[in-house]
Amino acid sequence: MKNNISVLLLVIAVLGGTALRLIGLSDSPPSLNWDEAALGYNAYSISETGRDEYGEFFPIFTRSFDDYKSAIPIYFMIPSIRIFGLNEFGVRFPSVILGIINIAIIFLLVFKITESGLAGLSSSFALSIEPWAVHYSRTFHEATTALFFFIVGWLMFIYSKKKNYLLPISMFSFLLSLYTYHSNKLIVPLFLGILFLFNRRLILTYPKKILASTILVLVGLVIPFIFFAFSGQAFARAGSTNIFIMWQAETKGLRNNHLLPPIISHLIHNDTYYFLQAFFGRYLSYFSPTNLFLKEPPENALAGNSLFNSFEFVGWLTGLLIILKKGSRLKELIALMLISPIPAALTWNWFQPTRSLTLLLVFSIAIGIGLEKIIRTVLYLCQESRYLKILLSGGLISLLAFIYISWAVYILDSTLVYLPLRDSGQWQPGFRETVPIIYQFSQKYDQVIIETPHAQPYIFYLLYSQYPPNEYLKQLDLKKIGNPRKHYDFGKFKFRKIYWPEDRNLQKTLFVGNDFNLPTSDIDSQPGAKVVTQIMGLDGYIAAKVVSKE
Amino acid sequence: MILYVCKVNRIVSLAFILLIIFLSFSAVFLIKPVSLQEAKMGYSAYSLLATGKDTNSTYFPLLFPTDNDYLSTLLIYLKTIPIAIWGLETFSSRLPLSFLFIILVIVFKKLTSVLLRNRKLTLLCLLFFLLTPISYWSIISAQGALLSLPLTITSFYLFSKKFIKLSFLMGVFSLLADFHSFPIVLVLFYLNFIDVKNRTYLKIAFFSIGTLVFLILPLTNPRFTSYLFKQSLLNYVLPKSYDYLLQERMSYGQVRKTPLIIQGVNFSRLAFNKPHYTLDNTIKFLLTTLDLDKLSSGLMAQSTVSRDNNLSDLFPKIFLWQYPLIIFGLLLAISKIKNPYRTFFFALFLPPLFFGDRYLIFTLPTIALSCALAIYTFIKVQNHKLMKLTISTVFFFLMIASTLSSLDIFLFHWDTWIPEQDLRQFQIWKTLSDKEITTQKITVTDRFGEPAFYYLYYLKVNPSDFLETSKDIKEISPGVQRINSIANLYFRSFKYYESDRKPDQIWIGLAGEFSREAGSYGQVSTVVDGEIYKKIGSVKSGDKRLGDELWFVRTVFNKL
Repeated sequence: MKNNISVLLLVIAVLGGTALRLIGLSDSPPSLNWDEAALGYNAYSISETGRDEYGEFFPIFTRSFDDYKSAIPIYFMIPSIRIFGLNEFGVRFPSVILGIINIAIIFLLVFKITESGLAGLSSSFALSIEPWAVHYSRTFHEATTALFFFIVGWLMFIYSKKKNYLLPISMFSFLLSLYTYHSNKLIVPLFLGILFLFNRRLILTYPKKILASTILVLVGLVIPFIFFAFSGQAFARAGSTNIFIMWQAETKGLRNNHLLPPIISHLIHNDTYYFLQAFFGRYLSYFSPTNLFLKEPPENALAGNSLFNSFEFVGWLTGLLIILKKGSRLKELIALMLISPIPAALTWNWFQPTRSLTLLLVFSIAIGIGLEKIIRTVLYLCQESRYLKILLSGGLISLLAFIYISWAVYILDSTLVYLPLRDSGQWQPGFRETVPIIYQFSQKYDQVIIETPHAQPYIFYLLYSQYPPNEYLKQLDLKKIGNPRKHYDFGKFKFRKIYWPEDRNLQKTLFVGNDFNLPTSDIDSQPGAKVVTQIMGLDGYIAAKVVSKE
Repeated sequence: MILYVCKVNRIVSLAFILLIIFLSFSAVFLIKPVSLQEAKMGYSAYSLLATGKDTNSTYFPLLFPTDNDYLSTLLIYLKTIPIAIWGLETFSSRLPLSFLFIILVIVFKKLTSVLLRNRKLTLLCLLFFLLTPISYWSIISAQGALLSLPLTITSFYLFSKKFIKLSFLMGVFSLLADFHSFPIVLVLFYLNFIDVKNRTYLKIAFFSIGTLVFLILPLTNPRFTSYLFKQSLLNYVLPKSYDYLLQERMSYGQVRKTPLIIQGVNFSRLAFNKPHYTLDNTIKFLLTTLDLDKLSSGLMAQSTVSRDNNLSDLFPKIFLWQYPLIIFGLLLAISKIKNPYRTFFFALFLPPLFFGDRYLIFTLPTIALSCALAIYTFIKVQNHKLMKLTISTVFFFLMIASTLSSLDIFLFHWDTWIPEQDLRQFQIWKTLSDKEITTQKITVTDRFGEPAFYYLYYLKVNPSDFLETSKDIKEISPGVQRINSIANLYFRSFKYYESDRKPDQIWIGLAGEFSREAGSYGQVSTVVDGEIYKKIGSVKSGDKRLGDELWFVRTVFNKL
């Protein structure tokens, strides 16, 4: 394909992807989720004070909800928050940018791997409208940042074969990915090992200076990581999500309820066998066509969509067959496909795509390779006749254009209309609407007592009130909040259950609750108490009832 | 040496025979609950024996219509024999299936011996055929398909031996046994049709007319085509299946003021149109059966698999480690198995692809063949004896561990995988005594399928009484009938606290149908004007508000 046409098509794919990722970013998803709020406020805090919400000076991992999130995405977010402010747009914009860059990078990556511009373009077009890619770009998640570093690392590694000086940059990018998201802490070392194994002869021919600087990068970043691992920060999340928490319960249940003697029932329902089954079952679920193309993922779904568009199944299947057929040429891709689900399969969730974004990217590449094969086959079939060629290629282009536009519009509608309508409840609704109003009212009162069904509500109050980090850090008492964290109060804001028969005696207090814990009839009969405002949520129901007691 | 080989062969043959007998009969005796289809077929056979009529009062019918479907005519008549001998029991109703399974194994063995001409490979094939969970699961779940498959294989075998008329006849029988074999029979007839070498014109004419009469003409009947479509997953591709959804999504856009409507032009029509939805649904329907979680890890992946339905069973039908073997084996089959065998074995995937995973039994021969081919080739290509031994050992360890665990769950822990409605109906009708049923007014919730046929089956209600007694039958949608009451038994969901209650009534339903105290049903021991005399826990109702307990309540009024 001519270069100019390739560039033009790539620009179209990038523009299409940009539109899907950027339009209505502030309003869909309808509000920030916990992780976005935590990352956003910590970015704000670091940009203002150089410290995170726990007072750590330019941290590498931030404690957050005791899950020790990587702080690298936070640093990415700082410029955006400085420019656009501490709001949905400011928090999510870096993720959008990475998502858009990924569309271009995947082109280069596939082009380099397959030496086919058409395959690269197909992958770019596919990625630009894939529901998983659009959704993860529109929300800020560490996994997206980690994926970006990972593919940059891989691309740099491929380029380093000709431009050796890129090797240390590649390693640096891979290791940033390792620092950024939990799954990559396992995938990156495995993949680096595989890359070295497959390319050892070539790598050893690189200039010594480059090898030395690469080793320096590796050692310089791996040693601190080991330190963080031992201090419990780097693998904090693995403790609460690993597979070992629950898989044994099933065998126990089967063994205890058995007619046969215990020894035989132990042999039949053997722990090792069941563990292998639990692991491989989870592993396989990431390759299940129904999970990828038919069902909505259990979490982080773009309402009404599976991870990939249904039409991509044809490309996926063809692509996988080609990849397997060209085994030796695409062995790095195959290896990555095989190792990517391992971290996710070692957690207790059966199918959690967020933990295997690398695999989803490999599948996008496979789809591109498959689509290229289909397009070339159609063109090959009609090469005998000129008229047939014009007819079939015209038909093919029209069909592909229809599919692209139709599915892009579908994704846009799902994002802007269907998601806020159907799933607003999953996005901690109400805080965005209520907190700024409550914060304004709070100036006149000594304390604000808040009851909410949401866990860790303090972070939304910090973020949506744009609470000054300096002030928050001054009040911070690490002993009081405990470890794991049990205490969330700050300033005038206290988070606890409201018991009106007792609480109505408090003076100069603002209550934030709902109709059940702040009954209107009781409030009307209580001197000095009145309903200040009722704030409506997006779904048309009362998001919060604000009551003052003078 | 020859004697030694003969002895080993005898032992292997004996082991296989014992295994076949065990697999064929164990499920029949050990698994107690029946499915709705089994209940309907069993009771229809019972009714035929007692009255000569089916439950629709038709004398010795050729077709047994049920809700938008037909029960297998041949199987119902087959069931009459053991039911005549032992009465209406679960084992007698299932006994024909055991024998059909044995026949299936024999015809499969015959076909693979002809195809493979390699004893080791044939035995390996047979081993996979017997031990892949689909096989023993099918004995109680496949019903008509278990009769249809051996007939289909026989038809193909006869075709390969050039017995065209017999092959044709078997194909027709296969269709009569289960309409869902239609796609395979179509392929079989197609194979017959293209294989015109050395045929007389008479044979060709016979075949053409036969095909026309049995396959093409029925398709011109709108009722039959509509039935096939309704049964098949193709139904989802028709506009009527997505029209509502399409309009709904369009309307959301208008209500929420989508930015896709610009100056009166609705750009969302670019997505919400028939070509988009038809293409989308066509691909999705092809994928429905490829739910690997459900096929191999249904019990472990319940949260993913059964989020929205309690009607399908979760028994793993393929071992996880079989997947790579199946893929590798199918790729090998493409190159190593010659036509028409290759076409036939691949065509066996069509019924589950078109009609859903209830018809997975049809794929069993292909799965067994591909697994055997894969493992045999894998062992064969190894150069070192030690490697061959290691692979064989690992394979046998996996096979034994998987089979033991799977069979144990299948035979002794059926409460973990039986569809919720079958399990609960079994518990309900085994809890109620004959005295209660005959003397008291009983209301049973219909939130677990259709209680009427389970009642008729489990209580062995006299068919003459059933035909003569007063019943309330309503057609709830075209082709779908519901029995709402039989004599003093009522089958409906209810709100107990709002219902008209009388002394000495029995009400059976979910906790939420009795009490409004959502979320704390476990602590409730009494209800208004009644006592809870039995509770069954861990019920999957599909509606959290209704709780997870099944209650048996007897009305008691305080005497003032």
